[in-house]
Amino acid sequence: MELIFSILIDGLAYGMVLFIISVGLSITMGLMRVVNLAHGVFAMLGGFFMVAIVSRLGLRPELAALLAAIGVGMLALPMEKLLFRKVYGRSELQQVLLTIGLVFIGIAAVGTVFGNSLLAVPLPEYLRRSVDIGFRVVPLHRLAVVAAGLVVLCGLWLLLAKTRFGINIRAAVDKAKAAEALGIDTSRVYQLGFMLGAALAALGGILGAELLPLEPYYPLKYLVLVLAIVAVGGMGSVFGSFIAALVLGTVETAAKYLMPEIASIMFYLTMLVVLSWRPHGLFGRQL
Amino acid sequence: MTTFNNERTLGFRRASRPGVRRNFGELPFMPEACVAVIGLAAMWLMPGDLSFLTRIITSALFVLSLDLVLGYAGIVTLGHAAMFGVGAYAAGVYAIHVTAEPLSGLLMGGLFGGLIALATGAVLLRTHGLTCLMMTIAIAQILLEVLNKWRSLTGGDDGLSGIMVEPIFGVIEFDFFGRVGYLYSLAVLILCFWIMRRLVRSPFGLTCIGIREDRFRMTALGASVYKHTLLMYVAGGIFAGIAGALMAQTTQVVGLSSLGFTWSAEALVMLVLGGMGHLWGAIFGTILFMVVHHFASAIDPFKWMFVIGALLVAVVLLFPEGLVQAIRKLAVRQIARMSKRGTS
Amino acid sequence: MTKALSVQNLTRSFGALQVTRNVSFNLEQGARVALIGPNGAGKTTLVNLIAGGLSPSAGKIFLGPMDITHIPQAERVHAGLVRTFQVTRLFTQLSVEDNIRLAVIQRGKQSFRLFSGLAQLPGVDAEIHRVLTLLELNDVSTRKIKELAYGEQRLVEIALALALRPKVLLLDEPAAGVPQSESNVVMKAIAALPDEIAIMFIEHDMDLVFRFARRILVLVAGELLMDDCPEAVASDPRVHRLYLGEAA
Repeated sequence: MELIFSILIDGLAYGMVLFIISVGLSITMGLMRVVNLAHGVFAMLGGFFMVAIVSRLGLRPELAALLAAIGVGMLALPMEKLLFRKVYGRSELQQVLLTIGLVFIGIAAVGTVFGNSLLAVPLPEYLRRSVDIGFRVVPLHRLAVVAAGLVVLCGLWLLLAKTRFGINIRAAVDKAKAAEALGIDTSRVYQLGFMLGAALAALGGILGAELLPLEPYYPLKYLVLVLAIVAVGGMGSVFGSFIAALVLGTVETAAKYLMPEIASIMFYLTMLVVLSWRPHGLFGRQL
Repeated sequence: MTTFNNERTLGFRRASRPGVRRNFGELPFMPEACVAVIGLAAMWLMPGDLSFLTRIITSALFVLSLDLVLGYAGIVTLGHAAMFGVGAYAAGVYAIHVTAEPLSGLLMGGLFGGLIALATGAVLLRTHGLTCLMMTIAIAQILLEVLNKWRSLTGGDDGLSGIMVEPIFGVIEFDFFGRVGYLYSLAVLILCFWIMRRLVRSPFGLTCIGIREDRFRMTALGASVYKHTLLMYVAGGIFAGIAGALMAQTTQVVGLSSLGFTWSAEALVMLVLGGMGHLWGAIFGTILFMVVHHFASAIDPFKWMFVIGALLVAVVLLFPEGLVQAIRKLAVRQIARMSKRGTS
Repeated sequence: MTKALSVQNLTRSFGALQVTRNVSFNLEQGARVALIGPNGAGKTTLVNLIAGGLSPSAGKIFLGPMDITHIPQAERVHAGLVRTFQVTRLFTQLSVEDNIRLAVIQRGKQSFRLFSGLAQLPGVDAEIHRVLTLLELNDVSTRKIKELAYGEQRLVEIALALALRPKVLLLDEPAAGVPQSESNVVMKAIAALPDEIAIMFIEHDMDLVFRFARRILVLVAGELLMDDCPEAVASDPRVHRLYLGEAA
């Protein structure tokens, strides 16, 4: 019983981190239909920017995290304009190649500036404690991550369902040409959507630093993880990413507890099974 | 749909039109002879670097097998190393537990590479796009983990070592300097290259090219896209397995990284640099990549990644047909310009 | 005598939207039938259903005596049911000859020959030559598709279909997009199509329709309004209303 609870708590936290990092990719892939293997770079940069801000400017971790996320979002803008825009509509292969190239450049840049070691992300004072929930002590940080995930989910839901920008995104994801015909400036939507996705990834990278340690090879190491969430959840579906992240995160955590030998195999096997059954993901739609 | 084709026709001109000069690629055995000449020249020029040159050859064979799958059937995969690694382990285990006879070892590698390709391709090729790509990655990862856990067979993390090779045909012994190993690899490469060239110039090859260009149209012509792509995927798997076996035999060591994502990605980069869909592009791309890698990574692994990353971005944005093609076109234009000046 | 093609109660819905409603008609051997109707009537959808690109919600399709309702598209092609595309869909990087060669290879079930050179296949070259001659494309046979004029490309579309030796041929707007100056060529090609083939063509060009069709099917909002000879269709008041409005 305690074991199940442990699995749930840890799986939940892990899943939330995966969700926050991946949801931006799901949106941008659903929007621009670009296979973006470089999404992990944004998550990594989030962590590194935050640490740099804390150490150089001495700001509080929360503020630094916010600034870092915004900074990464801003960085995403010229990237969209100068690079990604060139491969909309081109073949998958070209998109894969371009974004792998960006991954390599990202890794090289961070590695050269910060060196090849794990980066420790400073926590705010009040999150360094742990909470005793009866049978187990849970680091408060992990609960904060779960809370953050829920906030992101609700925030995105509100954004997509209730704001004009959100409706524009949904329209552009559904049928770009029709959206344009209705006067929606789709390139603007792509830009803003891309920035939002990058900022969320940065946030995820920061929040998840404990579970997914930050280092220059981060984008490559966790590439498959992120893509798996998007593929299983269905491109363009926020809710899909949420469910996929929780399911895959819990499966892997459970496996780590119960059958550690084959934990990662379980992850990939689950992904394979889901994709064989529903090639467009759980909540994806026929493109 | 794809832009990765060269500007020439595929050279299927028939001798039934007399007087038409055949393409270079049409002359029997010329490309194979070229590879032989280049290979022998390299050996003569760099006798101290034979293990490096041998690595180039096994890599080239691997990238050629990827060209079959990607360049000729249009299947985007980041998990092709699975077949290479399985072939390598198969040959290694065969050499250690059954017999160290090299030629049958190669066949083992090819056999297992092909079997894995068949089993996984059957599932994989019913999907396409991102889903297919994801599945190729997942399958390679699963196989890697399985081989990792199977320590008794594969040595797990430590890898498989002590792979011996008996003399070829019972008489040609592998020498300490790697000369025989190099020539052996070169011979295998040339043979496989010849087979692949015949394969892509066959009715099957043409059908696969059609599928790569427009799957739906091919269905409307009566072709089963699934069956053809599966067969080409298996062919790619067989040659990848042979490449892996060759590596196992010439380096006498097999590690888990031979199935890794990085190796799949590097092969993709090599292929793209040289240009997909030509076969010779695979060879040139491999040579280019490995030579640069040899010099660059000694300096700083991060600088190396930067160079490769920048190259990829440049290739996609500026040279969609591959660097080698771009250089070739430039050269052709220069020669045309010069000959015009010469005659005026 | 069995019909070449028999479509019975064919229906296709997308959710609540019925795009094809209970369509039934037959094509006899050597038929020359035009399928007309306003835009959005579902003509291309009907062709997709018959050819196999789309599966029906209900109904049956018979090719001769064979029930092909649930047979995949590629097999229907081998059984003799071929379609062309409204927007030319050829292999632009290959030559005309190679495009046709692809079709001939599929027809002859040679596509799994792994090691024969293309020159070694018996009869393939002869077959390619036959089709090229039929459509007067010999002069451009080695040119790449992208170098051809659009009218010539439409001809290659028809050439591909012929190379597959169809029993039933579905032509989706064969003259679509072809400039006036080149449409004669296309018309000539259609006139020269072998008599035994049953042909159904979608067309908006009424010249073509009345020139070639011996029977006309009128499709409106997914339903067959009329199935009759050209004179009857031309004089029917409902058709007039459809094309010319109430005042006609």
